[in-house]
Amino acid sequence: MKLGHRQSANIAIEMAFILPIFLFFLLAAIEINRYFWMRYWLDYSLHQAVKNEAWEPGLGVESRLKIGLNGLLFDTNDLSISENIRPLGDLLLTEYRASYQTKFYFLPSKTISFHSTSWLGGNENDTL
Amino acid sequence: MTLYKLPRRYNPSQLAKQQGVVAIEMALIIAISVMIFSISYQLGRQLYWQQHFNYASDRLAKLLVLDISQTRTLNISSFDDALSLLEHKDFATGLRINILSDIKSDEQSFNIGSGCNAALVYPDKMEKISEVITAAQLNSIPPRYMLGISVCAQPKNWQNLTPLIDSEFFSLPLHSHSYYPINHLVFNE
Repeated sequence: MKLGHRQSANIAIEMAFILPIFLFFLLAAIEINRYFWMRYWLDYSLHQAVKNEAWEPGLGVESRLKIGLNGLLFDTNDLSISENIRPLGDLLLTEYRASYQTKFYFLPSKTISFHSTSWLGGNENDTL
Repeated sequence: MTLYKLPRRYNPSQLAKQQGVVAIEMALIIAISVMIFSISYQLGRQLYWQQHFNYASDRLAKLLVLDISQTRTLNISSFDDALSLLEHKDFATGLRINILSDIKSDEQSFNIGSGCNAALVYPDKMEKISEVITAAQLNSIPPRYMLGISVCAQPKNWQNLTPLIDSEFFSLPLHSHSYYPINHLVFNE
C-alpha cells in the first residue's frame, strides 16, 4: 500500500470516530439554542401580553400571548395558561403561568416543557 | 521452518503510534466540545434568568406602587408577598425596596429575603439619580417619590464563569433593578 492510501485510510478512520461525536455536539448545540430561544420568547411575550393588558384591558392575556408567539416556532394549540389569584398586600393579583411542551430530539424523553410567570393587577392604570 | 515476516505496511509500532494520535485527537476534540457546550449552556440560562428577573422586577415595581397608591401607606407585608411571588426552587432570592424622595427624611429602605444584594451598590437615593434631580430644581415641582426595587437571585448549583471569563456580565448572583414613580399626594394629602 502506498503512503497516500495509508493516509487516506487514517483520515477515514479518524472521520469515522470523530464525525458522529462532532454531529452529536453540533445538533445538541442547535437544540439547546432552540430551547433557550423558545423560553426567551415565551417569557418576553407573556410579559408584553400582561403589560399591554394592564394598559388597555379587554383582549385578554391569552389572546395577546398567542398573537405575540405567532410565527415563532410555537404551535399555539400546545400552549396552556393557568390563572391563580395571589395577594400583594391589599391587592389581589392574577398570576398567569404559561406552559409550553415541545419536542427536543437530543433528550431521552424527547419532550420538555417550560413555563413563564407574570402578574397582573386588577386596575393598574390607577397608579397614574 | 521460516519465520513469518509482517509486511512493512503492518508495522505494529507505527500502527500503535497512529492509534495513539487518534486517541489524543479524540480526547482533545471531546474535551473542547464539552467545554464549549457547557459555556454555551451556562450563558444561555444566565441570559434567560437575567431577563426573567428583569421582567419580574419591572412588574413588581408597578404593582407595589399600585398597592401603595390604594392603601396610602407602606405595607411591609406587601414586600413579603412580592418576595413570595419571586421565589423559585432553583434560586435563593432577596429583595431590597427603597422609597426615594426629594425629602431626605422620607427616604426608607427595606431588606427581605436571602440578602444576596446586601453588598450591591445601586442608586437608592433620589440625589443619585441625576436625570431627575435637575428637572425638579429647574421647575420647582412638588417633592417626588419613587419606589426602587432591587431583586437578587443566587442560583443553586450553578457554575460561576467569572474566573474563566473576567466580566461583570457573568457575575453571580443575578441582579435586577426597577424604579416606578409614586404620586406625591399619596404621602402628603
